[in-house]
Amino acid sequence: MNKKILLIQMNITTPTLTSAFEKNGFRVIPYNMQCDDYDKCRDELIHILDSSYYGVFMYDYIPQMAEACYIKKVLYIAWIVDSPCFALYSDTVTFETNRLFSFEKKQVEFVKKQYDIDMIYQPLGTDVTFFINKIKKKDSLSSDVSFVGNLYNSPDRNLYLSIKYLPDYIRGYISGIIAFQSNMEQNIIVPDLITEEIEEGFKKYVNFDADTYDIEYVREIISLIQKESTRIERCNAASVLSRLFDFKLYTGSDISFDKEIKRGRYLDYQNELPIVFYNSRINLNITLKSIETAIPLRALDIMACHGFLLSDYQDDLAYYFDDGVECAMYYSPEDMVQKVDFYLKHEDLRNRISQAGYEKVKNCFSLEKIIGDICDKLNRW
Amino acid sequence: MNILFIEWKSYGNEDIKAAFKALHHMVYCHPFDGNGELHQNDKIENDVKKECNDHKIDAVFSFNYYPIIARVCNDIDTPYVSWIYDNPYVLLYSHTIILPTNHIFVFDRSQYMEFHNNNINTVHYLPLAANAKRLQGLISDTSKQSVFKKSKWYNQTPIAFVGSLYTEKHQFYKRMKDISDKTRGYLEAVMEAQKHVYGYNFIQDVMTEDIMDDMSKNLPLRPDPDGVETREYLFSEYVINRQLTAIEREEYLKYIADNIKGHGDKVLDLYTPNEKYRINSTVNHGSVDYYNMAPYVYNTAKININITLRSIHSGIPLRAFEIMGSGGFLLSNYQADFVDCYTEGEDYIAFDSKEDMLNKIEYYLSHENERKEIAEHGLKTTLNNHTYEQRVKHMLASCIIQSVNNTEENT
Repeated sequence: MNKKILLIQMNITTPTLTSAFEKNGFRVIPYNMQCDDYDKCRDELIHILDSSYYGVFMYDYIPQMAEACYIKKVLYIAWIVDSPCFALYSDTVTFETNRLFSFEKKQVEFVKKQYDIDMIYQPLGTDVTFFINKIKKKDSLSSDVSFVGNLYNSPDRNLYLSIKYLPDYIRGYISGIIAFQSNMEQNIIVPDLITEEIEEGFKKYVNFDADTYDIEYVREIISLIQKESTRIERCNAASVLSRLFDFKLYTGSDISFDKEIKRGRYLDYQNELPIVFYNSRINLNITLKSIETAIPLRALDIMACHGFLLSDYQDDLAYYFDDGVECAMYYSPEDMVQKVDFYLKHEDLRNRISQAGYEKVKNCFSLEKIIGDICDKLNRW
Repeated sequence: MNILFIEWKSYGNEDIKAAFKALHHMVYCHPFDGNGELHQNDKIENDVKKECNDHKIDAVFSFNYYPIIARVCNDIDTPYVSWIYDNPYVLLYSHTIILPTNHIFVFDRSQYMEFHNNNINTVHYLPLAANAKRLQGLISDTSKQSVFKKSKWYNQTPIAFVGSLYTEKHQFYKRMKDISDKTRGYLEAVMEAQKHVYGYNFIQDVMTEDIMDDMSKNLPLRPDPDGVETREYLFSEYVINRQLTAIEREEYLKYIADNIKGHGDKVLDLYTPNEKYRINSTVNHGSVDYYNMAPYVYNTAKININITLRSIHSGIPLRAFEIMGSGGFLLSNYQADFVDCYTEGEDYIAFDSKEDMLNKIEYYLSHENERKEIAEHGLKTTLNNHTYEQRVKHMLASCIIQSVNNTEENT
């Protein structure tokens, strides 16, 4: 009798996820949940679940879903694929019906330290099967270098920009942290750096969203600085690359801050992103700084589309992929420019690297394989 | 060889003279005012030239580097061996360092690399040293030992720290009272961040034009017109890294004083020029004579703490050699160059955070045999591999190699 899983889909997901679970002996009931009110969703879920279910699977962790599963004595299989995940501060994390996975080692460490429970480290998988059918040659989406992503330069995406007033001292302090971080591979934006004076200043002038769980204030400040740091890095990269190379920026963000930046045309993400990755000679990845060590999905998607990946340094990327063999990594803003220049001049090498990256991703980071890993771990829990 | 020793009030004078003599070199001392004319002075230049001529000097030697000496040596085509043990040392950026008669030795590998990467081949890397033989002689001199034991410097606790806290009046950083809040925030952030990083120093890298302008307005530190040092270098090394060291040393020592228990009401012996400095559970002995008394302190302490001045980016500070050469147990912050001279875990112990330091203090206070073994091993390594004689040989070899090359080119 196959174990029955309710697969909660909150954004668009592909058939690959369903078939991956099915290949591993699970029976999948897909469920599209529109969730504006998490409490309502919890009630909805309680209504749906019964003892015939083995578990509920979803990307991300939502405390109300964990509650519903706990009440109905069904496993809550949550795979966290984004950082920060403030919901991990909810003590629903300790429910024994939870089966938690995260792509980010720092979250795993946090949960262990905070609750002494095991969350399993699980790198992401990319939908190689889906992309195979999408990639094709297309000149209008080609360029020497491209970057796809948000610049975090609007107040709704970057809380730091929405703050009306902060004392100069604090603004200077944050600039200093960001300047120092830009020289380093490892994350140095740690709680120790957020002194009492900084924390008090924020408490006085900044209103983080009132939350139901007891998030460490310091963590919110850190995430804010990490986001702002990413904004600076991405905007600077766009400005520099636009002046030196044939660079296209695919973004919904406002680019009026620099007339030199060329915006790539509006994209149908589902169908055209793979084409951009395939047709750019170099695909740039600049990871959101709150993803401290993990490989972001973007990097895997690029390689799955046979794209050449030039990424900022991430511990896990360096661990699983050979720099210069399966992808390329840069270690400073200057290094990024030098490597763009170098790899544009070495087409054969570039092609060898993207092919090797594709093979690695196909064999080790496909969604099918990763879901298989998750199913294994569930069975052995 | 006949060596002209440009002698100023430096540490190590007796040790280096002894080393030259042990290697059968003839040493002629030429007194020099290290606070006087350092760039140009007719009388000094003529006096030095005369002595070089009279004694058929083969090489001129000084601790630290003096452009005036460099130019004289270049004029008379005599090698100038300069061993820099101060850090920072701004005269290293004098345009005179490229004079071909120079053989300049710095003890910080990252600093050496900076010159090397700029194709300056008169600057070389050479770690410092200790005269462990003399130090061991001092230690085993029982009458001198008993003088020490009756003196104000005698250790009262298991842990010792010898060094400046940079809290004297007129500190550069504190003089910048009127920098903007924004600048102050920026500087405090980069210092706080650097605190968490060992093995590389980013302070110069993060100095922006705006920050430099604001600091320059508030502190009259200017590059010498004869030098190529940047204002970024001056402010980073003489002001920011120094202030950072002051903050760190105070923080780390307080951390020890607050957290080490069970050894009586005092847990730390402090030997520092500012004798009014107070922290709880600490005995402040004031300044200690580095040459005659400090070796006893190092030898008597169960644990010697070293927190390197941050402007020394990678080098092993002199203090570390002195501690091990005195048979003391060294617990030091991580410095990249240690690996060139010593084995961590065998000769000394390194820490990479204040929590790590505390854990290791507690461990080694309660593991006496291991601690003694490490101190012994560190002493042995220093005696065998890091003597002034070995360094002198190395430095003079550099001169010989160059002169042979020059001769070959001419034949």
